[in-house]
Amino acid sequence: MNALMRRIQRVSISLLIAILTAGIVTIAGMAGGPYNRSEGGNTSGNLWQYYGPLTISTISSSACLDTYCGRLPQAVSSSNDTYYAWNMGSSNVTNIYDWCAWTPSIANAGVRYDIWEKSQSYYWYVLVNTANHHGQYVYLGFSDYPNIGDASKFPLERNQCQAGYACDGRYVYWDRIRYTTYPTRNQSCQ
Amino acid sequence: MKKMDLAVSITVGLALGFFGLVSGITNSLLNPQPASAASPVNAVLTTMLTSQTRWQTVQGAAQFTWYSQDGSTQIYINKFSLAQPYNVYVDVIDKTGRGVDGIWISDGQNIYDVDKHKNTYAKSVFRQALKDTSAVPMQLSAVKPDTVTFYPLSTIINAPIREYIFPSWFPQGRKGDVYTLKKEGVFLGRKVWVVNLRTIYKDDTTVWVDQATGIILKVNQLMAGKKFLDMTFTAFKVNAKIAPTTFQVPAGYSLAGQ
Repeated sequence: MNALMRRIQRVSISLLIAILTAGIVTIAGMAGGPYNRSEGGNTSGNLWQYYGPLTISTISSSACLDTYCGRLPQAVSSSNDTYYAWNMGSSNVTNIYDWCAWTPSIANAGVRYDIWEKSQSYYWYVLVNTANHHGQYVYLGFSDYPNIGDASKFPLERNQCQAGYACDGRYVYWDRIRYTTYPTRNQSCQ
Repeated sequence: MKKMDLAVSITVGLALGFFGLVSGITNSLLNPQPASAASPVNAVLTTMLTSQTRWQTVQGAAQFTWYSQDGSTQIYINKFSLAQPYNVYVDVIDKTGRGVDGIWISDGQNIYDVDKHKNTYAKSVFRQALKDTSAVPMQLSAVKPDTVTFYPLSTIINAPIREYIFPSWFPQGRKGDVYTLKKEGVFLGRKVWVVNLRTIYKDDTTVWVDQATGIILKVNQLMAGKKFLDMTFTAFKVNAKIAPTTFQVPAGYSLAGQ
């Protein structure tokens, strides 16, 4: 009987340690985000002008997360092509894996996001018809190179007209970007 | 408690934890997902979620009419050929001379963005991540609240037709969105369902869905009660053979910067 009890005790303690270890690993992994970068609102400077002549204006609308969105009119002429980027800035932002972008419910343009993995001199792009995704995070995909540890990865958004979409000077909106860090896969953006 | 027991327990725990994270099981357990669509149209929405599994090749053409706030319209033609898994050819033709057109090609190894006006093309590598479809929900119960996940290949196709050939975004509605199956019918000689989506933002979209493939063959979309987009396929073929040369840059174009 004592032997049986000891065996039960050993198995129970082993199970408990396994569950605790799994929990710690999970919590550590979940600590990988999601993290937010906003359009800057009227307070901080998360968004910076990467290329082009136009300056984003900030609007206040219930359609935007946290009340504020940035916006630019579409560049009907190529001389007004302007890119803004969500600046990752801090050197501790590394190993970025999954990306998501919020779509304000007043957006109605075809918009292109370029996501740069600068250490690879490499980027991918995602085209979003914002009119179809109001009030949703759009999943932009994940890095091919999540372990590079490069703080300069960032997403760009453009005001250019996109092939096949309406091109009439309507507004392109900038709002919130979300990301997670390796090894957390979090395509839900939640 | 022997040292061996401790080592085995921690090893099993580490393995379980990493497996949970990598597989997404942990996330699913922590964030249980509600079904997002009303039951009468569930069969239609499930067909749309899994549309990419229901065809090998598609070819055709579609016309897009965008309505501007000033009352003007802009018309594009999208001519397309796709062969699973990664071959795509889309020719975007601007009919009104106010927008942007071009040809977009993928051969599964590289991507070619063709500028028809400069007679040049840009070449980029087809990302490995585009081949990972694990994030795409394949049933309504797997749809995540307030998040839309596209079929990865569709995200990079530089033409609006991508959202209608790969319609998995349509069933991924928000809590409160209402889907209504209006009727069944025939369009372009194919059996279709006609489905309306009324979102919590009062956007109103009616789509004609091919019953065999789940592809959206026609759209009438209103925003804030005003016309926003009409899209209609004018030709559509499923599983016809496509010549491999279709997915090459046409003659007469040179690599940009060369």
